[in-house]
Amino acid sequence: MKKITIDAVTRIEGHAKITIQLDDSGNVAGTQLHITQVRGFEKFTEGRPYYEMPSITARICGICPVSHLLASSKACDAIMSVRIPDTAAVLREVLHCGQFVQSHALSFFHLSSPDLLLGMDSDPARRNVLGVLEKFPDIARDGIALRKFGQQVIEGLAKERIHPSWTVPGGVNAPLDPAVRDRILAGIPDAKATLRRTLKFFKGVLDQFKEEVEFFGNAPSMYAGLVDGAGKLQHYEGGIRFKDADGKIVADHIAARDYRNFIGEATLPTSYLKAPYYKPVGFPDGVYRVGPLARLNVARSCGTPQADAEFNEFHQRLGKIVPSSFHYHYARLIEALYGAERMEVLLNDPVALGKQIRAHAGVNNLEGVGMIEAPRGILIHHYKVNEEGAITWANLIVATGHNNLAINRSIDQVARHYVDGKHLKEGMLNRCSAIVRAYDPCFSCSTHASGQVPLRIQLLAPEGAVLDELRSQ
Amino acid sequence: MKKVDSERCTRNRGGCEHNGGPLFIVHSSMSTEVRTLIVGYGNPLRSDDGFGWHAGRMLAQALAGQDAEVMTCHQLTPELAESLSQCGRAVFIDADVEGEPGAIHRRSIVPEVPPSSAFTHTCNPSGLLASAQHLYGHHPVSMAITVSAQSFEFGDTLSPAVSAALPEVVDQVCQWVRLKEPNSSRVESTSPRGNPSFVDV
Repeated sequence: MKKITIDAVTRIEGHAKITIQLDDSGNVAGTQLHITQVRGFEKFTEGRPYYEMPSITARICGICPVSHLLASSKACDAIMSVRIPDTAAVLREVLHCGQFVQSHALSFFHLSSPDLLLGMDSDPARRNVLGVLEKFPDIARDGIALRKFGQQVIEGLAKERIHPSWTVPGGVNAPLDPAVRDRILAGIPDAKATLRRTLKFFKGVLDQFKEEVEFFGNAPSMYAGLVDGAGKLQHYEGGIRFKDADGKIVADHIAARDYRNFIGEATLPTSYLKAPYYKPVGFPDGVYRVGPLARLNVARSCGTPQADAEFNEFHQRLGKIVPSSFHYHYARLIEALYGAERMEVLLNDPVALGKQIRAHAGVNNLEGVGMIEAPRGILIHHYKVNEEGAITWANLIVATGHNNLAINRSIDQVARHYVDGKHLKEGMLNRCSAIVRAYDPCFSCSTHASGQVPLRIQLLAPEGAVLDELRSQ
Repeated sequence: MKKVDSERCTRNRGGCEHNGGPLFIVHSSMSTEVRTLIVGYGNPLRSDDGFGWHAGRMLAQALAGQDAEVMTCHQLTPELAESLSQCGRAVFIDADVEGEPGAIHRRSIVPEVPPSSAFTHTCNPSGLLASAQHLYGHHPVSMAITVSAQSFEFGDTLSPAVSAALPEVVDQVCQWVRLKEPNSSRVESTSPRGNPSFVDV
């Protein structure tokens, strides 16, 4: 048996490698995704005051610190047992919209557009964002402008683009400057126009990727995402809705505090990334997907006019349930448009300029759970504290973790379809990476322990036979 | 000096953060024709790798009232191309992994398309200039000034040798910014004990 290793998977956040096992005929016998980092935030935050958690956990990631800030702040709100002021809730959501726009722009334009524009089989030396800059300068300028806009929203509100400390337990620590609001509002029309232009372009090239659509994670699974009481898309509030592969709602409006009744967490022996699963079905069959595609599959609508028009077209073209993970790209663009529109609605609400921005309280609960939709999917922060407010236990379930099982299955599908071990071409392996990129994983975010950290050491003979093996107990 | 306005700051993944070290705008207007853009970059939590941040803070003060902008970030990313296209000159300040600790190296930067980049979160100065020219039709006259590092261990302070180079770097950048017609066409290297040597290119 031979093994192909893709190390590292490029154009993703964090580090990962893929191994592909071939049989003697050169056919794919199996695949594995390995996440090679371990973070340890749950352990080293023990003993820290709960109100430090937003700032500490924001350091998990440089791409989506806003997500961790918000989920952590909501967990702290729960520990304080406060309802934050309306202005604070609006401002947190505006911040979140800014993050969605910049993060989705990064994924589409910087990380995945080289595959989509230059071709999966194009020269790997030029198949990157610089190659896009050269050959598609208009699209590159759009990507740069859109990401910059999202970053400016974050920095305008929070004063810092990365790791801001503006979101705090109980609300936010400064009101919105009207001048900043006006500047953001002035930028929204261009952002929306850019996204509409990009959607038009993307829909125009979709037919070039029929094979990828067919084999990129195109398999039944469940879907999970946050919705409001009416079933509309939610990024900051709402409860979890689970749908099965046929689109039937199997669980709905699950509150953050109840997540453990529905989400189980397993560990895999070959990866530091834990594998959540839908508990009523069990492991490993309870695989579900989160993120843009899943959200558009579980929601009834987006709730803003332009995004809803795209949402309706998305489902008219592709079906009530869209199973192919290739369409994460399409869904991501619709969500970015929703983010820009939602931001406009929130900023035009006079509440956004209110001065009551923070609730103050001490420890009123010894446990708190915060849950939001991060750009990549549902993010859960769960803390327990003692009466002094020191963290005694923490659990994080990060979006990419929810998708772990689905990503693994998708890689397997892509590899079995494209990889020919006897006539190996770079484009075959690029597709194995491209399916990972479709999920826009953030592996640096996602490696959080569940129980014993999995560890397996194998001693291999020169021909690959396992001579000895050591596993963590 | 004005404290940062976010419109002028472009950062990257990996986490560009202020980290207590704000971005600074030292010009008095928000025009798009900022004369000089100074970019200090590196990881401020990795000792000497934060040299660009330390230099940036000092330059923000030293160039108060000048038509210049100082920004700090962890890495250079494609978004910087737009900002570069809007200025007449640019200075990139970074730590260097090679050379005697504290040695100062200065070189001109010209647009050059890099051969390949599998990891797309980061760029180099010449590639950014090429992108600025290609996408926006303009690139600034640019130089890079780097200091050989002694330590990249965890920490937010500079090693003594690298710290000692700060005043000289600030002085060199200020002089260059104030030149009416900067000569960027040579490489200069200064040993930790002075005695600059110049290499024409």
